[in-house]
Amino acid sequence: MRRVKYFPEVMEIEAYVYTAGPVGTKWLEALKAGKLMAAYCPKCGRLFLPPKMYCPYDFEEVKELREIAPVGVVESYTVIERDFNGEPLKEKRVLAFIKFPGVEGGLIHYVKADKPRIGMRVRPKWRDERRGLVTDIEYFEEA
Amino acid sequence: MRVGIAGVGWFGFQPEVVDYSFREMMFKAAQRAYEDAGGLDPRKDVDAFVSCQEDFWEGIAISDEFAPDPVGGAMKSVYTVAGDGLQCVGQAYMMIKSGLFDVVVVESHAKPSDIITLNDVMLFATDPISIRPLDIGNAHALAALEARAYMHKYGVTEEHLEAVVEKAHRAGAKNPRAVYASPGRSRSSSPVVADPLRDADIAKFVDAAVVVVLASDRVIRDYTDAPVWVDGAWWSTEISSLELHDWSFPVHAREAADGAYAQAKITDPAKEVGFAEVDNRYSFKELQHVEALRLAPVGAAKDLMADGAFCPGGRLPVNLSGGALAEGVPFEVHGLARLSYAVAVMRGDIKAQVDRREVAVIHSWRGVPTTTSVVVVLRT
Ligand SMILES: [Zn+2]
Repeated sequence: MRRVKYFPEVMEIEAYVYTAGPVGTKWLEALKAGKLMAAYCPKCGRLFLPPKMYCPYDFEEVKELREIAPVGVVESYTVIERDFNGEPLKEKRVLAFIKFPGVEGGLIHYVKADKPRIGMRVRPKWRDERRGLVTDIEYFEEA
Repeated sequence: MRVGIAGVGWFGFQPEVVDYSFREMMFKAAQRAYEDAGGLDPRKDVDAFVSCQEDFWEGIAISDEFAPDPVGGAMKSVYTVAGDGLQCVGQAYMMIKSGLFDVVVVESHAKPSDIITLNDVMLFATDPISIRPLDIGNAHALAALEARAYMHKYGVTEEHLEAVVEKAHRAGAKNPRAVYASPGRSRSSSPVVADPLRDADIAKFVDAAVVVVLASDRVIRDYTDAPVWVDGAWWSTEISSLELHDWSFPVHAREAADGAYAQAKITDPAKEVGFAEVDNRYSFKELQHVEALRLAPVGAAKDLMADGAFCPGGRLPVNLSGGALAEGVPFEVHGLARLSYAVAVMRGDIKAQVDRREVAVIHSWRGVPTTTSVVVVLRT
């Protein structure tokens, strides 16, 4: 007789929505319009990404986003060759952390490059049809 | 008032504990810890319990409610902390120091083998606006970004990572619960997962539960003749946005270490600490954490590692247990795994190759995508 040792269950995690919030909504609307913006702190004058309603440095309330030049610099990257279970991916993908001059933080995103390198200048490749998501940028490519 | 460890117990440390649920694993670990603490009766002798856990790891909502009875704590004061087990040690430390509690039991458990979509659960901890939509196929890639930033900045090479991996497997071969220890494991022939990380650089997951009994110096001799004292416990979270954290250095580990050292009145850790158990769930993390804990100057751990300073029998052995690379990562149990091994070494239960067993420093990090570290200082 088969022993009942465990039984499968599915967590209801697909039934969530997230609230982007006042600053997040503005940021996502800008992405939809094909523009890259950063949060601006009126107290310390820093621009930062990803944008939040509060400055991580001094707790000041953030109300304003400012458009930034969409040319970033690869700070670090990895070429993902295998999935979490160790299976080879059909196509290797380059994931990078990208910084923008004069902006604290930055963006984690894919880079399309055969030979990625630290210090490489990259710009977003926007999708034609945008929905207000970080993936409205399909990937970054060498600038 | 001093806080000491009166008993430790563990269960599992297997890739898959098939026959027991996490609650039974908690019970088994608790039984052993209470035996180790001189046959302590949790229904009579314990003032409070602290459990470190996360709902998503267990697939149960409000899992706090599941904490009390498996460790003998029904209808008693039970506190739950969504964090690494060492954070529970920090809670117990404060509770006992307050004078309101004499005996506090700390517990953590993990059953990663129950989780069918572990990558999704790990990515569920990333920012829902800026990272989640990227649908990163491998959460280890986030660690690879840190690895490259650190290696690039400080000139760490793949050979240095090889030294960490080799040391972990050789040390782990002497640790009976290090199921993944495989002396002679070759890093260079293991496949690249997310460069610069190869399969051998990434610790596997493991099912485990650990229970620790802490007591005030007023009552601890009722439970043990060989207390190990907790002289410092501190933790720090750098920031919730990975994009704004330091990619090349674990600032959170440095902050936690400095807090714990100040409590323990340690001014020169590299000289005063006898051995260390630190997080090495990725090989490069051991080098980073050694530096963050001031056991080597920043950027110098790679050279000291190559010289054998951190090997068993070396000047300052790091991860005599083999660490997570050899034992596996039992989620929030990890810090207690490091601590329970160190306690066994300090009490002489484990004959490890270390000259100075009087002062040990314990570190845990919660893994990607977190920026939280805990550091505990132990003395005999
Ligand atoms: Zn500010």
